[in-house]
Amino acid sequence: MNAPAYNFAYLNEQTKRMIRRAILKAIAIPGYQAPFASREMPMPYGWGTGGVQVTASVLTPEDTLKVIDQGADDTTNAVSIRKFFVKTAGVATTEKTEEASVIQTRHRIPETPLTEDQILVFQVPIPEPLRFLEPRETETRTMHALEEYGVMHVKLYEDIAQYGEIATTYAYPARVAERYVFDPSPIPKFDNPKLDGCPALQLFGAGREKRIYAVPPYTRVKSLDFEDHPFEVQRWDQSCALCGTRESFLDEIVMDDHGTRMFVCSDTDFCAKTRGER
Amino acid sequence: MYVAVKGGEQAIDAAHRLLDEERRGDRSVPSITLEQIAGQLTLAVDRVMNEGSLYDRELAALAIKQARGDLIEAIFLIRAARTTLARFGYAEPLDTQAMRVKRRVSAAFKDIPGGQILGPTFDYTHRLLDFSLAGESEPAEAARAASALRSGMPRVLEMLGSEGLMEQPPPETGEPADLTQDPLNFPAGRDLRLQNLARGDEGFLLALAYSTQRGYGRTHPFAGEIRLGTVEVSFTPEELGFSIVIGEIAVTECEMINQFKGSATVKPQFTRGYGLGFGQCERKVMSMALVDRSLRAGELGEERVAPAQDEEFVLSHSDNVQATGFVEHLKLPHYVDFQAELVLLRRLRAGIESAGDRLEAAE
Amino acid sequence: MTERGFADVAIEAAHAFRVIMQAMARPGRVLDIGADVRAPAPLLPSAAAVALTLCDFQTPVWLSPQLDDERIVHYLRFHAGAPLVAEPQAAQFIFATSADLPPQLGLLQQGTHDYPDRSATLVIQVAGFVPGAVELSGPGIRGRESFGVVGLDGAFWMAMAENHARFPVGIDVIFAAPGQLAAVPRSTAIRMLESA
Repeated sequence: MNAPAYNFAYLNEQTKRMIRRAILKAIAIPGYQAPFASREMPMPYGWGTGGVQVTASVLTPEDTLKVIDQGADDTTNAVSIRKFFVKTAGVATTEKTEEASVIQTRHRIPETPLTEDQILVFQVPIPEPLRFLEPRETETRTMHALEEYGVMHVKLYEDIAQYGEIATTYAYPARVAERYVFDPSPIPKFDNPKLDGCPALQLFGAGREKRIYAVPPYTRVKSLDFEDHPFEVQRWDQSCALCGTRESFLDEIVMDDHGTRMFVCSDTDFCAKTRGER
Repeated sequence: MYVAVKGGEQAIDAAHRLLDEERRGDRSVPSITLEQIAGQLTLAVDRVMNEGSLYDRELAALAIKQARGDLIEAIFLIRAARTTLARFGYAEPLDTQAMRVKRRVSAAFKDIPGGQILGPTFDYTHRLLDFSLAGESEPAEAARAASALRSGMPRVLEMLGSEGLMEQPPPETGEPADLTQDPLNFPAGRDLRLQNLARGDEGFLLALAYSTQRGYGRTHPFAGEIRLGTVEVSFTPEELGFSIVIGEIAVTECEMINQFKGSATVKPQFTRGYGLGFGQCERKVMSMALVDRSLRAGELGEERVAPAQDEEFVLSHSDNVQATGFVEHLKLPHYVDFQAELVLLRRLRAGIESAGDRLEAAE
Repeated sequence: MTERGFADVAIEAAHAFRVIMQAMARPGRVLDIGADVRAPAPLLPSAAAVALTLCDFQTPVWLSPQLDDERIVHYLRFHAGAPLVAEPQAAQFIFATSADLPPQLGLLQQGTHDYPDRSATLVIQVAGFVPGAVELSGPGIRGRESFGVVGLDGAFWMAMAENHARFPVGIDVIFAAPGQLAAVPRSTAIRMLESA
């Protein structure tokens, strides 16, 4: 038995063409979840197969790739995906946000503002923002077609009635270009404002659910809210214990078994840059 | 001073080496060969080929060895390998009537033309551990029929068709759909449903099939015919324009007979449920046939009330490669979202406590 | 003898796709397409790059009369394996020149409200770009962008404005000029400028 030789960026050309067609339609219909014939990848479903297929389809040999998970470049799955592309596409990699031309991410948008020359690829577990309110695809598809988003507003308002605020902290739904309500993937709502008017092209890949969607550059992305309960992001009383910033999303680190905590940037590259350590 | 954990790459490499070592086991024991797996763990190989959706005994054996016997992991390996294979086209439909039969039973009739053929089956073994297998002893040679079994045995269900008691097989409707080439959309045709079930997890289908027997969408089934044997695979290359035989594969086929009371437009008659799989996989194809029949509820005007009748539920959750990926992805770090939830929970609780304080102060 | 197509399929298609994607993501912006591709005239290499990057046996293609040339037909069959259809309404990709567009853009595949992605992409070969005909706004555009295409007049842009009015259904248009590409998807709002 001989080990097979793989094509540039692993996928065969026919698969790439199919994914590329879906990406273009997704860009032309911002926020709409375009179905695509997702392939089985050599990593498990739920571990970034959608993002990997999108990245593989947009990558060129000249690209510099950054991969993050939870904002960090050195989390195990980010390391594994980066390694996959080094092996199959031979691309250069970086941890520095501003050096990357393609960034694949799970659960965060980098703190460093993105530019027109960059593409941000999100890994998406459940692309359908209405899924937790209505499990049936046949129903949610009709709701999107009719622009019927009442159930989502009712759900958010029930939160306000019960808790005094909207109790959704991540995967916070937003409306793209005043038409489709979409799921920005499980980023904390802290990152939602970065989606709005972003100069970079943002692509979303859901492999298991077989959907691709997009937010083109400079596109209005409005997080759902109410006039009397405007959208708000998380705030911390602490600043980052390493770099001192108050501007970033903080992770809580448990230091001992007596409840001692410290707070550090989830974006490891941003933290290093702020400290002047790179 | 806190220093963030680094070195994910070295950790992953070290973990992979440990995995290799665990897979190998005791080095004083010979490594298991692919011939041994393909030749002796045949039913495991059949399952991996079925749910991996690729007929290749050697690759399936390799996957089982690499997966340390974890069949879902092996199925996943086969699926990923399948993605990279070039596709030349579609074979002609298999002619299972022309099967060279190794085993064939019907529960609907005492005897059937061509005969009931038990073949290699666990069915009537007493499930007592056979300690002779722990040693090197070789089994006694089995007795075989003096003449080869004839191919082209008549189908049990066709025998009922002549009386009009059995629904006619559906008319051919051109090229069947292929969910490996197009994303699954609903409603799905029966062709797409059967493809999904053929690739579906045996345990999931077994549980669903069982649920229909216990009343969650009863279908009153009889095992009309189960046959195991080999069939030829034919393919028509575009440049030749006629079909050629490219090989022979082992398959198991199950045709269930289900009672049907009829409807306003259809007289009472028996209906069909169908299952087909690679190799010997009776549990799988019987479950598949039961679930296939249940999923026909809408077409036959039956009320859809049970899980096994719910096409979107069944087809969206049958694939164990998808299911295991998404369940196991919870092992990946989720600390950013968890932090977001912590922040919310603390604020909500602080709000309730301060409201409580105000209440107490007022009292 | 058929022209060779892409020099290195995987690499050149990747380069070409990046340009096509950026064009679609930034409506009205004119981008250079430097893919190493050969094509039989009058099919422009830029249009050929779009065809070879996106079309295959799954995408019915229609060629306008000026492009419906035996060598081009053979080229697309050989390199893309794309089925050619007789009616533009049946096509997923339509290749035309600015001089012989299919008569009514509204009759091309528009997609459905359930599946707006099941719609046609129109690739128009043009001589070049001159801003000033229309002002574009919408997703992908920071503020407004002045845009125009040599050989496409007010009637075309009226049809494109109607196409946008049908959003989320509608077609998406790629303009292929010698060495350059631009695109206007259905999401782009179009305002006619006085001078046009």
